[in-house]
Amino acid sequence: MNSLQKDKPMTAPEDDWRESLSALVDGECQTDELDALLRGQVSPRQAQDTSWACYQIVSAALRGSLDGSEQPPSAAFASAVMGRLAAGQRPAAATAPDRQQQRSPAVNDPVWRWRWAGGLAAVVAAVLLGWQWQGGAATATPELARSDARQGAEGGSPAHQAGAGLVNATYESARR
Amino acid sequence: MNRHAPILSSADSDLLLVRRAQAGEMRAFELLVLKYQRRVERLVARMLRDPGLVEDVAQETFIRAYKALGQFRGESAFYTWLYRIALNTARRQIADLRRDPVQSMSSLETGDDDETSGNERELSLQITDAETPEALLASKEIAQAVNEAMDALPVELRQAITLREIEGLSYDEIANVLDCPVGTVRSRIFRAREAISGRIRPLLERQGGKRW
Repeated sequence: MNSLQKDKPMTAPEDDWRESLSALVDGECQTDELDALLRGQVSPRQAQDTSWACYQIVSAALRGSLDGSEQPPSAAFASAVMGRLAAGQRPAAATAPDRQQQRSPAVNDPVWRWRWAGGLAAVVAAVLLGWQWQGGAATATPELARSDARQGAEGGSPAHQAGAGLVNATYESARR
Repeated sequence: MNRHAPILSSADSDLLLVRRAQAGEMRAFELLVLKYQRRVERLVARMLRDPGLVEDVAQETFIRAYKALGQFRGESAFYTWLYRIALNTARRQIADLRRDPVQSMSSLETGDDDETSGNERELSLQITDAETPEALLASKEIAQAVNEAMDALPVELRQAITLREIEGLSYDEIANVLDCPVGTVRSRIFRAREAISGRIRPLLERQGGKRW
């Protein structure tokens, strides 16, 4: 138990996520707490939304910046925005200077990347199987073409080289 | 929960969420939408006269912001950046309406028709929904409820949240001022927020429905 936990007065367990959310309002949230909040692991989404909105309004009131727009946010509005985004509108890739600065990768990045890569691997495997049945001449992808060249040089088995090409194709696509 | 994980810096909460959203965590962006929805709507409403367009333009603002999120470098505050996107989105809407021969005159902003007019001139002070007597009264009621709640807080909670919200100190700085551990500061600020929130929730329920 580190100093943060042992110093503070006891918080009821059902309030732990609210305390994390309060810390997030101040930019003082721990990484693992933020992970848990964003993944919905510790609180119902609606309760989180309600508390988040209340804390923002409290902050605005204390700072004297109430401006007549203190209606609670609309769940329907947020849902509409997120729905449109989920329908395929991803953020533009960060420009080169931004890549220098930031990207703490999302904690689920590896999962996402390999899940996507798995789908691609299945497609490539299907194409390779189709080749083999047809006695296989090559309209190879660049990666597989390199594998083929390597096979010629090294005398490796077709299965081995297909696997190497599969890994290369998967890696190249995931990196893009 | 692993309390040995590194504590994030006391940087802007928005920047934390933006970085997570840039990394693909949609929920982080959703929290920003929830936080700024009403402010964006208010800004847009000041430029457009047709309240029916405000929500669409506000939604479009957030969509555009998400698409451009990779370009946000944190050199300005997130809301400043979002504000510019909202302005541009509203301007595009106005330009589209002007090009449409079957436009609704009531959808256009008031003011002159000079296309080269500057930003400030477009922000004409029109009475909008957010500035109706009802909205202003609601703000006043909230402010009053917050003040009453602050007066009712135990002194240590009131001190902590005052140093945070009004003086803008970080948790570490508040801990130094109050000579107590950071964990205590964090807990006090949270409990103060919860107490005040409890007072304003009935008011918000009246405005926004029972979910609050």
